[in-house]
Order: sequence, then structure tokens, then C-alpha cells
Amino acid sequence: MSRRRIICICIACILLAVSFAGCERNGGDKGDTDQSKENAVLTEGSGRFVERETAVPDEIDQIAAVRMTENGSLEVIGRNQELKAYYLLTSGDMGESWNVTQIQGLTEDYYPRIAIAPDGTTVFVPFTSNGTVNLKIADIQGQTAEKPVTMPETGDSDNNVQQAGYDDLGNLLFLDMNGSLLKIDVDAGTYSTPFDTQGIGINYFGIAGTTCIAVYDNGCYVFHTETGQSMGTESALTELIRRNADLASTSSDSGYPMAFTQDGTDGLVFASEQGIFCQKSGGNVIEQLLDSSLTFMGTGNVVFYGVAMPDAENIFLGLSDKQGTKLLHYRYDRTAAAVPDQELTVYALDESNLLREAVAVFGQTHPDIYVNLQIGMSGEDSVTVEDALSVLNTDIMAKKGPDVLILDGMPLDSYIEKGILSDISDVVDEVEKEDGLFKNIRSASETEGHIYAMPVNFFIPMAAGDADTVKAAASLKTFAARARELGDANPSKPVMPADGTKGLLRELYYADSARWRQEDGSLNEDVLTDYLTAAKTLYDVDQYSADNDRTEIFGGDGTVDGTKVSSLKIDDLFMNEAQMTLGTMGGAGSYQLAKSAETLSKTSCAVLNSGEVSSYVPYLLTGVTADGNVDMAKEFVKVLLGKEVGADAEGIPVNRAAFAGQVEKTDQAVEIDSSIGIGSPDGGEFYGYEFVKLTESDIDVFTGWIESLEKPAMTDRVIQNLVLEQGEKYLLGEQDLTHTVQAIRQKVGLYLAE
Amino acid sequence: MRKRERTGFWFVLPCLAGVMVFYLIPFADVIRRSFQKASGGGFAGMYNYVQVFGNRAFKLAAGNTLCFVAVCLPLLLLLSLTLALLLQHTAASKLFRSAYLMPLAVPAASMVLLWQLLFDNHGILNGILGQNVDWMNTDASFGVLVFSYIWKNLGYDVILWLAGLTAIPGNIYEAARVDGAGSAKCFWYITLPNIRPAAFTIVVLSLLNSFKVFREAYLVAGGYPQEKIYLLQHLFNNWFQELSVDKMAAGSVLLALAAAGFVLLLQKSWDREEEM
Amino acid sequence: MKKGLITLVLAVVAAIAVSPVCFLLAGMLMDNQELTECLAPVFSDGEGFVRWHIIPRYPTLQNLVELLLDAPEFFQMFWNSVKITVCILGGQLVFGMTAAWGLARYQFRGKKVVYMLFIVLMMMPFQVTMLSEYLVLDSLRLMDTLSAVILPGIFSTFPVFIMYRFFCSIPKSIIEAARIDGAGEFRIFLSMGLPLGSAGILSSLVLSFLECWNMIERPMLFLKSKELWPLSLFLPQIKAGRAGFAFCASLMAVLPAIFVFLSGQDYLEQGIASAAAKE
Repeated sequence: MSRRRIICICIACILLAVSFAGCERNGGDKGDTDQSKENAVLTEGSGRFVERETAVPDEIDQIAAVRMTENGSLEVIGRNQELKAYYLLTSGDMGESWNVTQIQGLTEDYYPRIAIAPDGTTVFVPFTSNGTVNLKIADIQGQTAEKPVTMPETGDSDNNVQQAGYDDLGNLLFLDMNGSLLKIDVDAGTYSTPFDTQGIGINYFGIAGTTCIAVYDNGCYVFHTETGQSMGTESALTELIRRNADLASTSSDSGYPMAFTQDGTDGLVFASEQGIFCQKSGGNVIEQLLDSSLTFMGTGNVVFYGVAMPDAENIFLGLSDKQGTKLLHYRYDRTAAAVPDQELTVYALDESNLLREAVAVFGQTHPDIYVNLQIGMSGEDSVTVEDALSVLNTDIMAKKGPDVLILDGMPLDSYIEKGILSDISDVVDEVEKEDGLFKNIRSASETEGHIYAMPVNFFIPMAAGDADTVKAAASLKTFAARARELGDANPSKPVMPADGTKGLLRELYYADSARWRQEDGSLNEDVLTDYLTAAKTLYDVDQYSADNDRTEIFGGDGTVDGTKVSSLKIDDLFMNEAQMTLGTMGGAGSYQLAKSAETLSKTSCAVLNSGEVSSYVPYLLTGVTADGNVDMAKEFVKVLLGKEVGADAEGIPVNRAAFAGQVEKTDQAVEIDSSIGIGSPDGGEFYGYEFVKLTESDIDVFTGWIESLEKPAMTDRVIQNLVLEQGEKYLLGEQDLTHTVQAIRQKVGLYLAE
Repeated sequence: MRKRERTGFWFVLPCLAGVMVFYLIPFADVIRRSFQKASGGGFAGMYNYVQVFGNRAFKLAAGNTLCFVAVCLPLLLLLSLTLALLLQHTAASKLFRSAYLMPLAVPAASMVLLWQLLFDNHGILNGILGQNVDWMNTDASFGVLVFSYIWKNLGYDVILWLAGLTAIPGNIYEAARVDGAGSAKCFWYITLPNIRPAAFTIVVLSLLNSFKVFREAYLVAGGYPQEKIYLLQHLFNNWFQELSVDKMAAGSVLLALAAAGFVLLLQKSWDREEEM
Repeated sequence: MKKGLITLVLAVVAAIAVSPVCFLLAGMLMDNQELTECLAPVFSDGEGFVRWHIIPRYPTLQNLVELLLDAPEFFQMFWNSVKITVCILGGQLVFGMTAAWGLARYQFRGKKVVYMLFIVLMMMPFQVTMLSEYLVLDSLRLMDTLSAVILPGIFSTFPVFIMYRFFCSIPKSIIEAARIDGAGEFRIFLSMGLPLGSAGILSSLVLSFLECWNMIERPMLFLKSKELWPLSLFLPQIKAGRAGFAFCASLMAVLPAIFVFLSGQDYLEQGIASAAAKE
């Protein structure tokens, strides 16, 4: 018996070992290739690409195309938005200096598609009219000639060119509205379709040398531009596209998720949000030349309109992000360590484009510092906020914590109390001296004369509606009463927009919570009761719509770019979806938008007040850990609070210079788009209004609101979650008021007792 | 004999060394921390312990944990013993046993999803009952927690009991029956005393598993659940979130003492059984 | 009649026990639309109650295909899990088994203390010692390596506790007989202890397997690089349109566990039976 068992066990063990060994070899290989694909160049000894923004002449405020021409110079097509003029820029010294030529003879204000040919001539593609598109071909002296080209038919509307591009032989390719690739004979004014896409619509394409990469929803085709034959090298790229659906289709009019070019040796080079990659000719392995995480490429919402590679050590990239267009120069620095020798760790719980932007800006002036941006909650795995905080706290306690902490959602008071954070008032003072800060926000951030956490920007809770409603926004109580009044006056007309329970509770929380805390730390129950009552009134005022409108979108909660706020939507007012609305306002841009919409809705807006204090929602509360590299961290905080980052941010920057920049931008915005059109949700009506410029007095009013803010809304994540969770039950009628207040008191009591 | 003694020690030593490094030293560090201040690290004497004992949250959590163990352990032991007794004479016992072991394999993350769907306000259970009970926010949450613990560990304990039951020699029963004992008497005078020794293993393992129910409770109901299911681990977790390592250390030393006391007591009674 | 009633009771309990796996299976086979429909009452504040179709309306393997083809990190994590689990189990075989044997079959000073210590350490929740453990691992320069998860796993005292019971149950007379035959102590362990305790060893391995496979806190804390994370951390949060994917991932994580479990179950039962036999 026992012998048989021994034999059995031995055999089982051997089998197990063999199978696992075999598996592990397979698994190991898989892992290795994956790794090498992604990190090959990054980890190979010293040397790496360093990013620098290339300055273009002042008259250019928008860049439309980038290419290396046959004679080895870098050519860029730029535009001045105010003058509606196009310029041809050439540089023979890697963008150090530019020759500027204005393009003559253009008849349209705006050419949606522009492509540069290898010989330096440029095609400007306008919208199609009557089946023909009248191309303007500009030579390198800036003189244009018109060439009409007939477009394929598409039923009733004109078939516009979706994308245009030249290959290295001078062939011009178009992508039309049907998603088919056309080869254009410019002189004859005709097109041919040598590319067989098997009936699948192409979303966009890229050209590298004589290779055309045509991307569709589920992969790509790779054609030879001259013969139209398939090159058979699509598998690696297709896999990449399948893995990342964002690469498959264009979401913006001004660029594409990937841009392609050729390196010196027939290799295919392309840029995406993940970085710059190279696929060696004929090979199926994609290696990474540059990781996007520390660069502008990685700041989110980025699209590309061109990449050029003069030689193996220089890459030029045209991209457009929220700020506008940029020409970036990536130069291979042999002396730089593959990874910069100094490291600065920045930790935030949630993803933020603003933060990424700051990292990229910081990298421009500190190329020797590697900024390790850690995001606690990626949402891709089973890590909860509490888990992420546990890990973070362990790191901090072991003195291996990050240098800069973005404290949104973190136990700020405990961190201050336990001496985790160091005083950053000196950096704040520096920024204040340089650019000026909103004094009230600064003083509200002080704890006993020290600043441990400073918001980068903030949002104001607002309400909008007719004159009486705006007056009622002075307190939640009067605001709710006003809602009841409107509802009673006309029961068939909706009063509040359908924002869902959590959204409504959160907005009111932002306006009210600053006054909840009592001296001993506990919550004032009377105030809490008032808050819940107001929320219930506002929620119930449109009882009839409860069945269909009140459902929150599955999974979404209307957050803006990582901030947990929903913006003030005036649209609902003129579309008769609501008579009053509330939301937060983040920056001069959204104030301008509200002002413009008000021309149609005939309403106004004001700060929604708790009745006692007027509060704001701080965003990106930045702190520096005492055990980290404090000096370097403070440098970073300075960039984060600086005017360069703040001006384009979602939210109102605490930096006054950044705020001024934001106001200035609103004027430019009017130049670019002068009006907006919105269809009503049911599609029946169409509304349009003009963008208005903010007047001096508008700006004064807005600044006045900002300066009247007194206290931040309670930032304690635990309390906010408890209140919202219980409040939701109350709004939905699953729990009465007494029970709700009691439940909140019990849970918050427990929290405070710990 | 001395050589044999040394041999035994050599067998244990490698593992003991590892345990020292990875468990005992960290635990010693926890004990050290329980006498230190959280910030600065100065000696705090019994201050942390006084703090913890005076802490309302600790009292609540300790009470709940004790209550949970006091309800769950007997319930689980009883239920699993009953099932084991029933299974003993069933033909398809193997099939059932496999089924009972299934919950042990389901990872916590999947369990949580299931719990949400079952016990939510709009969940399956309310759908079936046609009621609107907020299971996780009323005292019913304690029941839910007890249920999930028992559900998960029932199969494991059934197997353990079955092992104990099959080990009782059949001839004792026969002898008893000849003497005219009924099945109740048989159970009371033969089965129970004979499986008592196995109980030590089962109780210790069940107690250990009762600490593991926390992950599910916490994922379903968060760090501040309904007051009845606020367990010591919730408190430890929350303390750590706020970096109150001093209190956490003191609390966990107390927990260790309690666990040690419990096991010692159990072992004492078990040793007595063996001597008899 | 009575027999039938007993079987019914047993069957009901069995059904409750098995239901979650069926539930996951059904979820895996549903398409995203059906899932969204079914889950809507819980995940958005909709009306009505969750309904669950045990048999999906339109069974599809779409989610499974998506998981297997489009989630390369799934395989990476799967192999991490395999590596971690195999190494821990192997280590436990070497260290845990010898320790259990030493404790069970020999008398030496401090034995009771060591045994007690093992039990108490086994009982400590992880949160309690995690910071201190972190510091120890860090000073050993093990942080962010798989060893940071594997080594503490190997020296877990849980398998020692279980194997101890089984080794105790081996009759003294057999060992003494071997000793009289002149066998060395280590030889006795190999030729008597291993085979006679094999069932116990295997059952402890099966339980350890489940523990390792579902490990969450330790890897989350000690592994900074996500490339090293095991499968247990992969299971994504349920989000719009991704529910089916999550179901699939859950089920794929359960499967190996169930497989190991079922294949080891016979040993588990026999092992526990033989352990309990002599107590």
C-alpha cells in the first residue's frame, strides 16, 4: 500500500514539475518579448531621447503639418488664427531658426486638410463643393495654383476629404467620407482606387516612405503607395490597435491617434499617446524609442498631425493637446542616463491630465530629474481606495514614500497631525511674489500659520436661473424653497435638470459642507438635516420625471477630468429642460460659456451659498512629504502652482497670473469659434448662440466671486462618502430623514472615535 | 535520548528561522511600536493601551468580533456536524462533499460581486422575497456576514468532522446497541466523546477562518459598515489609513493575547481529554 | 422516506454552495447587453430588482475571447500566480514538512512554546504586521521582487499546524520498529513519515494552494511593479460594458483552484480521516 502510494506521489510530482516547467518556459518567453517590446531602448545602457518644445515664429499660433523635405530641411505649415493666414516655415538647422513665407492666393479662411509633399510643395484641401474639391498647391515660394479634383459620389451630400497625405515619391493620397483610400492624379483631376480594403471603411491613414498604413476599427492594412499591393507587415500593428481601442479611430478634427514616418533605414516610426515606436523593416517586432510618460505626449487627450525624423537622433513631432498645437523636438542625448539619475516621485490617487502636463513642463527645465508619477487608482485592477492608501501609508511609514503628494481624497488632517507633510509656505510665498495668488484661498489653506497643502486650482459651486432664483441662491434653504415655488407655479414644466441623486447631493455638499463641522469635530446635525431636506426638495420637485430621467448613467458620475465636479449647464435652461440649475464653475472659460448661453436663456448665475460661508472645491491639493527630497519636491510644486500649468487647467487657478492668462484665452476662443449650435436631447429643436467676449465688468464680477470665497468644502473623503451614500437612500425614499441623520451620525461618530 | 532531542530540534530549526525572520521579528516590532508614540517614536509607556481601552470604536469592534466568533463558531460547528452525520449514511456523499467545498475556491473579488447582487436594495434576494430590506445597512448585515462565513467554511468543517466520525470504531456502537442504547444515547455517550479530540483542530481552523471573512465584509460594505459588522479588522484598517500605528499596534497585541489565551485554554481542555 | 428527506436537505445545501460558480458561468456566457440589463438595478439607481438568467438568452463566448486574445496582461499575471504558488508550495514541502515532523515526533525543550507560537502567529491578521513585515523585507532588499511574496508564504505556519496533526497520528510502534532496524532519523522521516503522512501533506498543500492563489494584500503591498502582480489582483472593478469581462476573469481565476481542489480532494479526505483516526 505504502509503496504504491510513494510511486503515485513521485509520478504526480514529476508530472507537476514538468508541466509547470514547460508552462513557465512558455510564459517566461511571452513575458520577455512583451517586456523587450516596451522597454528595449529605455533600458539599454545610457542615452535617451530628451523632449524640448521648439519655438516657432510669433505669428504662428497653430501648426497644421510637419515634414522633412527631400533637400533635408524641416518644413512646417503654420497658421495665424486671427489673420486667417497660412505660413510656410522651413528650417535647415533642426528648428533653431526659421524662414517664414506667407502663402499667397488662398481663397478660403480655413483649409481643413493640409499635406506637404517631399519636394516641399503643399496641398491645401478645402471642403468639397458640387463634387469637386479645388485644391490649392503652394510651391516653396508660397505661390499657389488651383487644381480641381473630382471626388467620388456619396449620395446627396458632397464628399469631403477626411485626410490627405503625400508619400516619398510625390503621390497624393486622400481618404474620403466613405472611408475609402483614393490615389489622386492632381494634373488630370481624377482619382483611382488601387487599395483593396475588402469593403472595410478606413478611419485614418499614415504614410511612411512608400508605405501606407490604413487603420480601421479592428486593425490596419499596410499598402505600397505606388502599386497598391499589401505589404504583409500589418500583424504587429494590428495587434497594437486591437489592444488599445483608442488607436483605432479619430476623435478630433485636428489630428490622429498615430502619426507615421520612416527612419533612415526603411524602418517604420510612429508616435502614439504611449510614446514613439519603431518597427524595423519587414520585421514584426515593435520597439519603443521613447516612453511618453514624462512628455507632452502622455498628458492625455493628445492627437498628432505629423512626425518627422531627420536622422536617427532627432525626431520632430507635431501634436495638439488641450492647450493647442505644439512642435516638439526629441533629441537623443548620449550623455544622459537612460533613466535620469535623480528621481522625484509624485503620488496621486486619481489620474489627472493637469498633473501630467505639469510633469511635462517640469521635465523641460529639469531634464536630469526623472519624475515618477504614480497613480494609485488605475481602475484596471481590484485595488480599492483604501487599499491604495494602505500601500501609500506603508511606504510613507517606511520612509520610502513619494516626495510630492496630491492629497485629494487622502486623510489630510491625520497626515498633518502625524508630521508627514512639511511646510510649503516658502514656495507659496515665492509664487505669490512672482505671479500673485488669490489671498483668500491662500489663507484658507493655512493651518496655524503653516501651509501643508495648497490647491492648484478650485471650483465654485454655482446656481443659475431667473433673477429670483439667483437671489435665492444665497442659501440652500431659500434655493430649495424657490424650486418648490417654481414647481407649484407650473407643475408640468421641469424645474431642475435630471442630474441623478449622487450628482445633486455632491453639488449641494460642495456648497454647504464647509459649515458642518463643529468645534469638537463632530457634525452639526441641524445643519445636516437642513442640507438633506433641501436636497430632497430639489430632487422631488420634478416627481413626475422620476421614472425615466433620474437614472444615473451606468457607471458614470459626470466627473470632469478626474475632478469630482459636474459643470454648470445653462443649456438645460434655454432648452426648457429646467428652470433652474446648479453645478460648479471651473475657470474663466466656463464663465464665458455661461455668459454666452445666457444671451439665449435670459437668466443669470451666482455663487450657491450655504447661507453662512461661501465655499469652494479645492482640486489638486499639493503637499510635500517631510521625509522625501524636500527641495526638489518644492521645485515641482512651484511648477504646479506656476502660471504656465494653471492657465490651461480645468478649474480656476489660485495663481493670479495664470488666471489672467485664462481670461486672455477666452478672448482668443471667441476668435476661433464664434458660435455654437446644440440640438435638444430629443433632436427636435436646434439652438444656436454667439460666443460673447467677457467685458471688464464681467471679469470684475467673476473676480469678486472668487475673492469672496471663504472656506474649502469639507475635503474629508470618508465623511463625504458616508453622507452621499446615506443621502442617496433618503432621496430615493428608502430611508426617512431621522434614520438618515441617525445613520450618518452613527458612522461619522465611529469614524471620529477611532 | 539527548541525541534524539537534538534531531527533533534540527528538523524544526530551518522553518523556525524563517518564521523568526518573516513573522516573529515583525511581530516583535509591532509589540515595540505599541509602547511608542506614533510621531517621533518616543517611549509612551502604557499610554497607547490606555487610549485603546478608552476608545469607543475599539470597544465596539472588539465586542462585535467577540460576538461574531461566539455566534459563528458554535453555529458552524453544529451545522457542519449535523451535515456530517447526515452525510455519513448517504450514498452520494462524495458528490455532496465536492459541492460543499466549492465556496472555498471562489476568490474574494468574485464573492463580493455576488454579495452585492444578492444583498443590494435592488438585489436578487429582495427580488425573490418581494421586500425592500436594506440588508447591508440594518442589523440584518450581521446575519449576512454570519451566513457568508458559514457558507464559505461549511464544507471544510464537514470534511473534518467526517474524518473524525469515520475514525470511531464501529464495534463500540454495536456493543452499545446490544446493551440497549438508542441512537440518541449512542450519539451522546459514544459519538460525542470520541470526536471531541478532533474538535481542537476544527475549532482552531474555524477561528482562523473567521478572521478571513473581513476582506469580503470590507469590500461589500466599505470601511464604515453598519455598526453590527464593524469588526476589529475594520478598525485596524481604518487606523492604518490615518497612520495611527501606535493604537493599531496596541490593539493587535491585545488581539494576540486574546487569541493565545483562547488557544491555550482550548489546548488545556483538550490535553485533559487525552489524559482521561 | 426519511432517507429521501435527508438527501433533499443535503441537496439544497449543496445547491447553495455551488450556486456562485454557476452564477459566474452564466455571467461569462452572457453578452454585454444582457448583463447590463440584468445588473442595472444595482449599479445604477434604476427600478426593480436584479434578475439573473441561469441560462443566458444568447450564449456567447465573446467575453472569453476578449479576455484571452486582447488582455496580454492576463497571461502575465496568470504566470506570476503560477510562479508564486508553485514556489510557495515547494518551499512549504521542504520547510513546513520537516518542522511538522520535528514537532510531532520528537520531544525537546521549548517544543510546546514553539508550537504555541506557531499557532498564535498563524492567527494574526495581516494588517497588523504588514508595516513591520515591509520593513524587514525592505532591509533584506526583497521589496518588489517575487521573493517578497514567496518567502513569507513558504514560512507560513498554517501548513505546519495541519501536517503536525497528521504526523502525530502515525502509530509510535511503526517508528520504533524502524528505529530498531537501525534506520537513521532522517531516513525514518523519508521512508516512514512521508508516505504515511502523504495524505496530510497533500491536503495541506491543497489548502495552501487556495490561499496563495487568492492572495491579495501581500502582493499588493510588496510588489510595486505591476508586471509582477498575480492574477488575484487582476479582477477589474465592474464597470459599464466591462461586466462580462470581469465575470470571465473571475471564472478563469476560479478554474485552476477548482481543478486543483477536485484532483486533490480524495487525498484531502483520506488525509484528514487518517489524521483524525488516532486522536
